Amino acid sequence: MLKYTLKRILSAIPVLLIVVFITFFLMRMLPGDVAVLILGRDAPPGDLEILRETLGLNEPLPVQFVNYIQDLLRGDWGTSMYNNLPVFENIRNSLEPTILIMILSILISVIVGIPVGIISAVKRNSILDYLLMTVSVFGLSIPVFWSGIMLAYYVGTLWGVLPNMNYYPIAEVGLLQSIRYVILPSVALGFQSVASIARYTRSTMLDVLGDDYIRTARAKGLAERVVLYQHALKNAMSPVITHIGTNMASLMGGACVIETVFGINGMGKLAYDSLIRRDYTQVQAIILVVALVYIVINLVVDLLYKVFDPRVELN
Amino acid sequence: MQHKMKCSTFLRKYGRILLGGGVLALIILISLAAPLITTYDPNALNPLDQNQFPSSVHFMGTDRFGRDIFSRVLYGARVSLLVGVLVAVISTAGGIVLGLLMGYYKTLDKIVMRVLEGISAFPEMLLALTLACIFGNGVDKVITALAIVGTPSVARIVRSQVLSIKESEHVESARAMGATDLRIMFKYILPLCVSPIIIRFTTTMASAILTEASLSFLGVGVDPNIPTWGGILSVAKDFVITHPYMAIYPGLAIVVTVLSISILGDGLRDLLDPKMK
Repeated sequence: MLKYTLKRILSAIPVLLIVVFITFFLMRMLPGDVAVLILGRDAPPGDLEILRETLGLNEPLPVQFVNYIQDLLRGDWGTSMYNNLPVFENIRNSLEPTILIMILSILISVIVGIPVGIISAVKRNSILDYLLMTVSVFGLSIPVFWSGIMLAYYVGTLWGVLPNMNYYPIAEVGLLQSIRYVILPSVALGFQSVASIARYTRSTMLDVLGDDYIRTARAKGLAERVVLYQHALKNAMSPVITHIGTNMASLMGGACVIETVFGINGMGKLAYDSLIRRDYTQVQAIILVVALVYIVINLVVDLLYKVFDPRVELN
Repeated sequence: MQHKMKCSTFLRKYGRILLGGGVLALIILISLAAPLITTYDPNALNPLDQNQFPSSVHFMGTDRFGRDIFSRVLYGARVSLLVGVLVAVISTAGGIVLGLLMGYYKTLDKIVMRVLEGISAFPEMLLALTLACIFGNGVDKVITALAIVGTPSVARIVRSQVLSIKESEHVESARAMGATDLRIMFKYILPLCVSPIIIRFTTTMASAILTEASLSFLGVGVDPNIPTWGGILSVAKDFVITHPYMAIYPGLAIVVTVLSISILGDGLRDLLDPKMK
């Protein structure tokens, strides 16, 4: 187990390097001069040159890349080109709403998606199954930003039940109030994953229900309830959990859009804004953090497998 | 009685393909016939007709520049469909070539797989955003960006198919007969990968339409002067509270289009992949 964990951590290093490499060069391919974007179009050429020099933009690209990697290894992620704060501080300041939105939308999608998937699989090919699956295709077809706008208008503005914009941190208004601000964006974001989780649960559940040991369990006269929830569900869940893990990246992408719609200053909006402002260092840091979180979550998920199901071979 | 049975089996088997494909065909037809359906130029600015609510004159109302939303939605279908189809075609072609090569050549596979793992740690939306910023505004540029984003997942699917088919006997015998690698890949392996590729095609198309809408909504997609559903929504979002109709119709257009493609895809999956039933 320890050996496996170490091996996985080691194999994550090249992946991370590739992420850093791709992001670094993608950022350099962005059109527009950072110095001009910071100082404005009318800035004197001398000032622009000084700024470029201090930002290290005059070095050849490979040198810049090596410098960047060295800084990263020393734990220095750089400072934002936009507000001169350490990029990590900007991320920390924007992390709270994003974490809340992620947790809430995963909760929503799991609480709704898994039961829907199970019911569909158990009642397979019934009208209920068709109905649930049709609704879930619907969920996959709605653009997140549009469901966000519609929720903000109907639930937020028209009914006035929940706030339709902004976010206030927990330290200022308390956890419950803060959660109220992220409910609508989380529902909009979660609705898509509900659909994908429901469909995924249905198909793995159907796979498992066709297995021999389910037939054996039925043949020895176990109640259908026991067969379904104790024998089948347990085994159907592992692929679903992996799916939730890999879904994290797409949720993070959705957060860029939904935070912009709701005017929430979270990490997703920070990523989008920084990209528009050509704040290279900030975007690089965000993508690296997201990739790190993604890799760690997927490692933890794989390790949890082993804990729950000793038959799983890790290699 | 027997006839009735046949009818219900037929519907069960082909119903979704007919429904999804039918609606999609209708949308394509409407988008092509847009100039016949609406007399308004989708780009004609009309300061006197700003923010008009839906009426018999302006079926879906007008936006802040007095442009007729109905005709913008109709013409917007052209961009969405074009982006969807072309992105799906390009990423499928790219994915097939890449996947075949990866599945066939082990050393290449090791290198490319690492790169693909790296890319999969990127949020897809963020990658699309970055590429769209690099390439700039424009239909062709958005298509390029989204095709790059869509290729890896097709490649992965083809690769995993190739890995299992490569060891089968008919490939072995082809090799024994002296067939070249290229011939084996395209003649003996590719035809067996067709079903998952077709199913993936519809998914790629649906997600390309959704992502293009998001990009245009955020202002980094298609040129704001060309009517697109995402673009109409990005103008509408500031008026939602007073003029909700501006946001409702283009959104519904996206939902119906993507829904029809997804339903078509589901139907194809049931038909082509017996395991999934």
